[in-house]
Amino acid sequence: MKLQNNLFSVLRLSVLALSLTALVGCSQFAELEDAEGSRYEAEYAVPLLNTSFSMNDLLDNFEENSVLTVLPDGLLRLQYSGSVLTENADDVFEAINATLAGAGGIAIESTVQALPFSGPDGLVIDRMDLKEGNLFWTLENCHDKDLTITLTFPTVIKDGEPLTVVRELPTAGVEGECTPRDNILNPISLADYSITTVNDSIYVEYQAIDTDGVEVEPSSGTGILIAQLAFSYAEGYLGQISHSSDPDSIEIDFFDNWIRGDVFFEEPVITFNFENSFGIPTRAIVDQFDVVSVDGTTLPLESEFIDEGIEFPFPSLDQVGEVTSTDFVFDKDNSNIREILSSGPIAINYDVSAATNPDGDTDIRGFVTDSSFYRVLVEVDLPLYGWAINFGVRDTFDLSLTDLDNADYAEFKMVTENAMPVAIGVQGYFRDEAGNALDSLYDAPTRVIAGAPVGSDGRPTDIQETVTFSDFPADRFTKIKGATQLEVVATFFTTTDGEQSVQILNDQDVKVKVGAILGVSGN
Amino acid sequence: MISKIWKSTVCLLLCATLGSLTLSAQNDLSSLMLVNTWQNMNANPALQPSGFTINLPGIYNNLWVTNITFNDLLVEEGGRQVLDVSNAISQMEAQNILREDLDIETIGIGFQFGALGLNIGHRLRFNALIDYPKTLAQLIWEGNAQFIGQTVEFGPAFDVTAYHEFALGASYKIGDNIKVGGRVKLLSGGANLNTGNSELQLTTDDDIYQLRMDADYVVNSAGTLNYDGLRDVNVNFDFGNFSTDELFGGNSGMAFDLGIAVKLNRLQIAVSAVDLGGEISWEENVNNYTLEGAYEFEGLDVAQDLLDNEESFGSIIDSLYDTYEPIETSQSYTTTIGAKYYFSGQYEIDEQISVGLIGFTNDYRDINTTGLAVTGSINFSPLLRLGAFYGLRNERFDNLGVNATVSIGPARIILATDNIISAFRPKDANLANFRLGANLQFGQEKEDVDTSNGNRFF
Repeated sequence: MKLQNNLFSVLRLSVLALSLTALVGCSQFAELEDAEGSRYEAEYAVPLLNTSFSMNDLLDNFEENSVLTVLPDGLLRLQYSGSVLTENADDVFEAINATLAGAGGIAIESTVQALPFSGPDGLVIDRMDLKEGNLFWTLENCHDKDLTITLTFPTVIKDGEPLTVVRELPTAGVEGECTPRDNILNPISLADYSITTVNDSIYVEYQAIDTDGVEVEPSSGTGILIAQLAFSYAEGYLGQISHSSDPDSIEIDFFDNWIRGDVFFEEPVITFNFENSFGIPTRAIVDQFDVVSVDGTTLPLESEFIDEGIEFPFPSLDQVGEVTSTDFVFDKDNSNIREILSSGPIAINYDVSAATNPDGDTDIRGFVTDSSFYRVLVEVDLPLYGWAINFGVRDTFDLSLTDLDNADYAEFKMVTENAMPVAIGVQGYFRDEAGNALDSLYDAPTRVIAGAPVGSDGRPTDIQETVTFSDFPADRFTKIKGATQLEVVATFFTTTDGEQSVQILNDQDVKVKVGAILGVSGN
Repeated sequence: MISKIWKSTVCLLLCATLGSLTLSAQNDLSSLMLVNTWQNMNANPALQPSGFTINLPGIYNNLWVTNITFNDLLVEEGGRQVLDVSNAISQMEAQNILREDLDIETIGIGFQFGALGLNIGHRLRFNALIDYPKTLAQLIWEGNAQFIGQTVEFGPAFDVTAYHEFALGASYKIGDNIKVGGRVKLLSGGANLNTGNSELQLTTDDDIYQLRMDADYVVNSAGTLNYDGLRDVNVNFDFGNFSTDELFGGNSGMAFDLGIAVKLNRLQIAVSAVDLGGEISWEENVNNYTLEGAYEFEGLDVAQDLLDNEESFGSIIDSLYDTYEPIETSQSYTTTIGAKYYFSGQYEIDEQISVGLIGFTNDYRDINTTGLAVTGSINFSPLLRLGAFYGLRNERFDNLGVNATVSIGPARIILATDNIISAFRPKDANLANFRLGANLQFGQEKEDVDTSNGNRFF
C-alpha cells in the first residue's frame, strides 16, 4: 500500500512536472503574443537623398523661355529670343502690280508710244523680270489697202529678242469699215521676259505698211492690254517703304519665382540679328525697347543706335539671291543695358519697324526678287557672370511623410559639397492640404550650402563642404507628418556676397546629401 | 523603415520558427537512464529491450534558448504585460542560440530472439536551430544609429527541418557481457528552411548614414517559404499540417546509429553514436534566395525629379526594397542531421540502486552542445523505477533531471525531463525538456530484470 501510494505520488508529481513544462511553454508564447505593448527605443539611421545638380539643371527646369548654352570658356549663358520683324518682297511687287493693273487697256495712237506706267511712291524701276503675265492686243485695218502691222516692245526682251507682234490685216474693201484682229483668246505669255525702262518708261512701237509700202497711222481700234503680271525680279530705285509689325515682347522667367534681392549681370548683351536678301538700303527703327522689371518699373534701352536706327546689311546688285546677315550688339559700352538688366527683368517690350531707302537717295539702285526677305531677331544674353545678394526664390514641392508614420522624432543631417560660387540659404515651410504652415524646416533661414571660394577672375578654386543638422523632436515631428507640401524659400548669395562678380560654369555642381536618424519607441 | 526590411527578411524566419515551438526541451540525457525501454534504444541501439516490445505513440521535446528567458522579455508595467525588448537584448551575448528538437514517436516494434534483436520504428522529427548575433536584435529593435561609422555582422544562421524517420535496427549480444547494435534510418524530408552561407555585414556610414550590406547569404527553402518580393514573404511551417502525404517524397536521406554496451560485473559502460552521416537531399519544391556581393543604398538621386516636382519622400522604401532584392533560384541542396555521441557508465550499488555518469556531445552546424550528468536511480519495485541526475549542460549548472518508468502489466509508461527546475520556474528557464512515452513489453524474463549479478542492463 505504501509502495502504491508512493507510486501514485511520484506519478502525479511527474505528470504535474511534465504538464507544467509543456503548458507553461504554450502559455509563455501566448503571453508574448498577448503582450499589450512593447518597451524599446530604436534609432534608425538612413540615407534619404544623395543627389547632385548643377546650375544647368536648375535653369533647365525653371527656365522655359530661354535656351541655356555654354560659352567656349565654359561660362553658362541664358538666351531669350524673339522675332522682331519679318518682311518679304510681296509689298514691293504688290505696289508695282497695282500701278500696272490700274492702267487697263492702252490705246495705241502713235508709232512710238510710252506706256502710261509710273512707279508708286517715286519708284524708279530700271528692270523687271516677269514670271507671269499676258499681253492682249487688238489691231484694226480701216484703210483701203491690206496692211502689215508690227507691234514692237523694244525693251521687253526674251532670249535677246524684243517682244514683237506681226499681223497681216486685209482691207475691209468698203469705205468706212475696218478689219479687226485680236488675240483675246490666245494672249501672249510674258513669262521670262525682262523689261527695262528708257527714261523711266516702257515704249511700244507701231508700224503699219500697206501694199504700196506706205506707212500708215494706227487705226482707232488698235490697243494693248497687259494683265496678270507677276515679277520675279525688280531693279532700280524701289522707293521708301516703311514696314512695321505689331509690338511684341520677350518673357524672361529667370525672375518668375523672385521674391527679393539683387542680381547683377556683368556682361549682358542684347543682339539684333539681321538677315536680308533685299538689295535695298534698309534701316531698323527702334520705336520701343523697354525692360519691364520685377517691381513693375519700365526702363527704356538707351543708346545712340536707338535714336539713329540700325542699318541693315544688304546685298549688292552682283549679289542677287544671296542673304547677308550681321549681328548688332547692344552692350555695356554702347547702351545702358547693364543697368536695366540688373533690375530684375521679367519682360522686354519692343516695337521695331524698318524703312527702305531711308535717306531717299535715288541714285542708289537696288533690287528685289520674289524670294527676297529680311528678318530681324533679337536675343537677350545673360552670361552667368556677376553677383547676387539675397536673391530669393520660392517654390513648392509635393511632399509625403506617410512612410515615416511610425517614427516619433527625427534628426536630419545635410551634407553639401558645392563647386559653384553660390551660397544657398534655405528655409522651408511644411504645409498641409489647406496651405496652413505646420512648422518650418529651420528656426531661421540657414545657409545650408556655402559658396565655393573664387579667384580674382571669379572662378571657383575649391569645393566647399557644409554640414547642417535639423532636429525635429517628437512634438515638432508629429506636427509635420500631415504635411503635403514643402514650400522652399531659397536665397542665393554669390561668394563674397556681391563684392566680386563670380562665374557660373557648366561643370560646376552641388552635391546634396541628406540622411536622417529616425527615432521609434514602443510603449 | 529599415526594420521593415530586416523584419521581412530575417525576423519572419525567426518568428515562423518560434511560432512552431509550442513545446519545450533539449538533447537527451534522460534516455540513457530509461533502462530496458524503446527510448533507451534511441540513445544507444545496442540497448534494445529484451523480449517483444511495441513502442506506442510518444513525444519528446527539447527547447534551449541561450541568454534570455521569458522574464527577460515580458515585464509588468502599469498593470499590463509589456515586452521589454531592450532588457532582453541587454541579456544577450554576442551569439545566441535557439534550438528546438521535437520527436513524435508513432509506432515501433522490436523483438529479441536469443542473442539477436531486430526492431523497426517510425517517428516524426522536427529540428530547429537558430544561431543569431546580438547585433541582429539590436538592429531590429534598437536600430542601426548606434552603429554609425561601424560595420556589424548580423546574419543569422538557421536550419529548420521536419522529416520522417523510418528506422530498421538490429542488436546482437556477444557472450554475456557485450552487446552491439545498429540502425539504418531512412529520412524522408517534409519541409526545410535553412541558411547556406549566412554572412551579412551592415555598414552605416557616418556621412549621411549610407547603408552598405556585404552579403554572402543564402536561404534555402523546401516547401516552406512563399516569396513574392520582400514585401510579401510568408513562411509556411506549421508542424501540425505535416501530413502523411509527405511520407515518401523526393526529399530523402539516410542516417545511421551505432552502439555498444559492455558489462563489467556491476559496471556497465555504453557508448553510442546516433544519426551518424545523417543528411537529407532536398529536391522537391526547392527555392534558393541569394544575397551576394555588396548592396549599397546611398539615398535617392532625385534632384531632377524634385525639380520636376514629381518625386515624394515615399519612394525611399521602394528603393530600399529594390536594393536588397535577392536572386531566386531552384537548385537542390543537402542538409545534415547532426550526429550525437553518448557515453554512459552505470554502477549498481545494490539490486535497487545504481549510480552513474552520462556524457553527451553533439555538433550541429558548428554549434556544439555538451552535457555531463551524475545520475542515480532506484527501483522501488518491479513496477517503478525512478531516476534523477544533476547535470552540466550548455554551460549551465542548474539542470536537475528526473525520470520514471512505471510498469503496469506489459505496459511501461515513461516520463522524463532533463530539467525539472524549469517546471517550477518556467519563466526564468533557458531550457525546457520532457519526454512522454509508452511501451508494451512481452516475454521479458524476470531474471533479466531482477537478477543480482548485474544482468539487469541486458
